[in-house]
Amino acid sequence: MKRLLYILFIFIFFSCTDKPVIKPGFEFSKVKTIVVYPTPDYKSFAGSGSIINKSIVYHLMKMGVNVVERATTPALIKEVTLSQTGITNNTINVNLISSDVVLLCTITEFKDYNVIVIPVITENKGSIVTTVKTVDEPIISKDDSGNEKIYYETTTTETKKSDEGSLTKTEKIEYDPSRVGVTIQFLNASRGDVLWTNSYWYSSLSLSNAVNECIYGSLKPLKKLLK
Amino acid sequence: MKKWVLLLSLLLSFSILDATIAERGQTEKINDSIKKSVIAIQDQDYEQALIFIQEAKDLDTKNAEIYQMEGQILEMLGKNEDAINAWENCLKYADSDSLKNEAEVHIKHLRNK
Repeated sequence: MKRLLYILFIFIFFSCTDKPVIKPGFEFSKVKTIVVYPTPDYKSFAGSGSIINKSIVYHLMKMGVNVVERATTPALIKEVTLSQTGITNNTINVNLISSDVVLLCTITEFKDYNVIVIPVITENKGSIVTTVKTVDEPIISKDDSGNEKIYYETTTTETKKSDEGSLTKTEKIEYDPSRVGVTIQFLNASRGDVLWTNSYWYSSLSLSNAVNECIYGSLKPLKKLLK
Repeated sequence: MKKWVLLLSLLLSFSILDATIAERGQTEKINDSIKKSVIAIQDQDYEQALIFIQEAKDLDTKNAEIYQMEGQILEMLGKNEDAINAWENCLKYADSDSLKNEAEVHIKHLRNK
């Protein structure tokens, strides 16, 4: 029972963290070339895959990695099989060797900014202001023996002033920033097994900056491994 | 005694009315500053956008969405340390989990830069 709870804790702990997952035993420092495959477009956002790819290539090259960008997208397994037999149906011939890795990216989010106009209707329900004026007037009277008696009579006057109310229409503007999310996988070029994977998202006022920051953030943990 | 009670109640009702009107005026001023900031963002004039969003912030110091916009603008200007402060305030005053999550992602990202 204790062991089960321990396994459950480890599972929950690792599933909650957003750190990349690394296959133990693989020597990333020996990687000489990373082959970047084309990223499919996100839903109907034409060109999104290409934008992401260019950013991936830029950030990998900044890390000092040799990058090969593939122009076509054959299925990875087919590619690996063909490369093993020495036949490849691509015009750009890339010799995959065991120290090379293949990078695959999936766009999980790709959204440009939005300006949202929210109509705000302020209702003034109106009011009734009642002004009460109280005046104490002295009244002098005489009793049977002729003595004067003073008593006060209070007079109250009420004035009512009503405001019927109104509706005021204004608008509130909200800026919904651009948001980009990706999942990046590194695969062993010769065997096809996953070596490293990371998911990341970022938001920014501009789409190009969201792409740049998202790719930067997703690939940053790799920098230490490749050194 | 009666007079004093009446006078006090009148004063109280007037002050509540006055506060409501002032609050409405303040909300309009905040919305106006945000609107100007958004227009500046669309023109990619982030310096100007920052001035307007800081005007809105001065009027409402506990608004998480204003801090979110301030953080985003500061990031565009490359002022990462100031952006972290803005995101920390966003995290402090945010009600929704999505906004809290966004603030956390930005703080972590900027600290790792």
